Amino acid sequence: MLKKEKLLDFADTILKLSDADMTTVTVAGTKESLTRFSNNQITQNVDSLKYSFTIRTVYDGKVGVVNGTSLEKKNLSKFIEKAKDIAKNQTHKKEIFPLSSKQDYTFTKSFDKKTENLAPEIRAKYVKDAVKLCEKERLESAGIFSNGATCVVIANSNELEAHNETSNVTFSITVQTKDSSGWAEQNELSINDMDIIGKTKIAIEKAKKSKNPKDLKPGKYTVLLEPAAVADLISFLSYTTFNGLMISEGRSPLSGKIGEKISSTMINLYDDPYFKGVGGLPFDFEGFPRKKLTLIENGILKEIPTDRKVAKMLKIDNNGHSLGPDDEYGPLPLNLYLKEGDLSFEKMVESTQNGLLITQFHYVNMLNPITTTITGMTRNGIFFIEDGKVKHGVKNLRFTQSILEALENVSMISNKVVLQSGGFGGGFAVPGLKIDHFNFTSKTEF
Amino acid sequence: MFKLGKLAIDVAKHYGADYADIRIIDTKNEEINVKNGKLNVDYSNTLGFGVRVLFKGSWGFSSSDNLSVSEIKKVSKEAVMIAKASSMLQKEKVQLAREDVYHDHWFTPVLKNPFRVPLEKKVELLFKIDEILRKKSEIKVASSEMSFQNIRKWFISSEDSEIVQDLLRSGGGYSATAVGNNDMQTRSYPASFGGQYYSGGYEIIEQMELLQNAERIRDEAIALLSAPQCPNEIKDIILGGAQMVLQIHESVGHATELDRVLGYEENYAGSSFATLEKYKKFKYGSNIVNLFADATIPMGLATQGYDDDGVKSQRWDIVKNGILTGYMTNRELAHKIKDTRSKGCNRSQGFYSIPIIRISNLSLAPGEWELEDLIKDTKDGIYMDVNRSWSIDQRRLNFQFGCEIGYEIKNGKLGRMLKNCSYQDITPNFWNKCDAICNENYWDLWGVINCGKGQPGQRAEMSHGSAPARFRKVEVGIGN
Repeated sequence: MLKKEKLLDFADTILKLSDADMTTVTVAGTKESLTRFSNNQITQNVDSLKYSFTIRTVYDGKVGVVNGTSLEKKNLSKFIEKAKDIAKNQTHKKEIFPLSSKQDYTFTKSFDKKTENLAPEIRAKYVKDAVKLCEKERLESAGIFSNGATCVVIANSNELEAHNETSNVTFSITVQTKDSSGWAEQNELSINDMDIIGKTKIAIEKAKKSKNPKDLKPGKYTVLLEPAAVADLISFLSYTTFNGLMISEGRSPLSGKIGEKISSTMINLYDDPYFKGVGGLPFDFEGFPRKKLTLIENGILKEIPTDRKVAKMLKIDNNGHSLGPDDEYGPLPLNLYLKEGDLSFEKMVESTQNGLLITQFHYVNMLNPITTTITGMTRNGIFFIEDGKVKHGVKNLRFTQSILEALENVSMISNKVVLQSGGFGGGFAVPGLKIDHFNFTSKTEF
Repeated sequence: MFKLGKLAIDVAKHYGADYADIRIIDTKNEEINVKNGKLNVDYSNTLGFGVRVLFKGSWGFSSSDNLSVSEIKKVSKEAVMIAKASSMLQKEKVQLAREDVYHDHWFTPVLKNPFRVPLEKKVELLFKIDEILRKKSEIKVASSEMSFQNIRKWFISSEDSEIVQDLLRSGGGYSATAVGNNDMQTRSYPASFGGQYYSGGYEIIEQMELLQNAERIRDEAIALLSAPQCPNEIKDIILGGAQMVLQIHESVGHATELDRVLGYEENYAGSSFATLEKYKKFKYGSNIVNLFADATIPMGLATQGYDDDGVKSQRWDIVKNGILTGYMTNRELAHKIKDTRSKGCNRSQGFYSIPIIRISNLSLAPGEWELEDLIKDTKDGIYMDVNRSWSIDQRRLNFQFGCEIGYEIKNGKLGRMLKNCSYQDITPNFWNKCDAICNENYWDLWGVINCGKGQPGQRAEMSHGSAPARFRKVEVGIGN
């Protein structure tokens, strides 16, 4: 990946070439190396390094935006002219906020060069080690080992210069028997924190334990959600319910509810890009510093993400959650951290008379944003718990459940948070949850 | 470009590749959006190349956006090194199905190049729509858009194929979101999640009747706020074409991708219930269900001359008279179903992605019914249309889909408007409940522009054709 100085130099070239009233340059880079395996062999192995840049020019209240990939400077004037052409050929003006100026940011350690550049032979060796364990148990495995890095630079004609880089590594494995499967995944910023063998053993154990799954009638059950399942659930809070614009336009169930109780008093939810290992961006996509937000404190809605537009609509401060100066989707909390409780997950299982342990959800989608009702399937390890013990595997079920209602019905929170991948802009940190009256509406055949 | 391509092949061969291909891709996009009176215009141009090699039967792939001689040499060598690493864990060598060598230039038939239509003309149309949608205060979000994409792709392989393709697609649409009555409801036209898309030029926009439908869509969004909920009951349902596209895509398209069937997607998108022992035997649907794949169909988003394996586009049956008869295949996996030739479904999102099996244009053949007669023939049902939400299990069996709008059908007549319509079933049970399909007068292709698959994730586009169809005794209104 190109370093800060080279990226800023590229941005500076554009700023010098542009004659617009305002010019902003954003450069993003992604290096991704990924080894994919299935049926106990490597089936795909790729390496890609790609950059994208965006030039935003403003002429007399009219905006032109162009995007490109090649950082070759010789073609830049063509892009700048195109941006000018788009802006000048408009008759409609819109409200333009002034450009942000130079800012101070808080950085966390999120980049490791070794992790960015692991060789394909190293990835293959990790995969081989995992597959070997599965073969020993005569089980089939599929998954990925990926590593890489992302970088972003935002610079503008008002002297803003923002840069951040993050490395990442992911191992994910699904292990299968004839009638069951188990899954485990680890997402970290550094290869030094990875435990490939440990995760493979978890997936193997889950696959073996869920053999001969039994049919279960859909209905309301107490569930113990492992962190991956919790992340599937609350990610919709990030994209929809806690969207600052939706809240300000009356399109969220949280509209007008700041200061009101919206979940169990056990729930403390933050947007925290500075949480260790999350790898969040310290600035938003206009270059403003991202403030850590207390979204829910002891069940009370405290803060919501804002950009300048939402801040103006709601007459509150901009807390640096913009997705871009022309964004119409709305500011989001990209790095949710659900605060841990004080019980181990094992103790939570022991406390359960009757319930279901869920490893992961699959294909979750929003049904009704106003009631926060979502639907999805269980996947790769669903177990029946009786008298505090995991008894047997269960065939997969479909749930149809309101997220806010589920957060109201939380009765226990585990004492360890696990990092979940969230793509560009970092991930989530969530613990396991015990939730009563979780609504399963149909079943499938496996 | 052919010269640069040949260099990549030569370098790959020099380092030991048994097979190599390169795709050099130049993509132009124009996105225009008006949301609540605010205009955003976004133009992009990306150029780069990806080199794919086989070394002793194992794949390696590398890519770059720097189209220089030195970078091509570097990336080709990297691809071979990656393939060598892949061979460290290999059970079965990749065998490519035979394909003829082609030297060809293929292009999408276009009447009006959308990139030459003045920006202001496009913008004015979107502002007119925006004005109509926001004329009533209940509409809190009005969003209208157009999108145009032009891809020029060079494919050069070590088998001596040299293919250039110019692919152009155009489309757009709008949505109106009404808020009130403690509720929020959205209506879209012609389809949800970005509208309707075809291969072709600006003539597509001109034929969409965008302005003519704006008032109706706005008023339907408002009416839904006070409409009764879809009941949670067992009903006969008639699905409109804009919902059938999703039904075909999720429950047949993905289920018949051969890589999924063979477990290649197990850790991410999932596998399929349509396993190989069911091939040419399994009763996927009722006798009237005929689904065909066709990468040559005019105006389809997956319509092209050749796929990213360099395989010429074809048409074939996926479900014939209700029986599973085909899969989406590529050169690597065709032999797994004893086919000697790939069906040409290998496609990638861009120069930076390795091609994987993607759904082709997949359509339900029309039946014989007039829609009016089909409604008259339905005693207790719901007509639903335009997708709102979707979820399906990892083997493509249990699905639950939601629609933007529904209408009660009582004793052969369309009745009250219903909101929050959804239905749930198991894929083969559902398709076997199909007892009526409307005729070709109601049949249209619908474009899907956001199909995700693979690790690293890739997006692909394809079309699905269908007319409205009826399914008997289906659970509706789940969660209401």
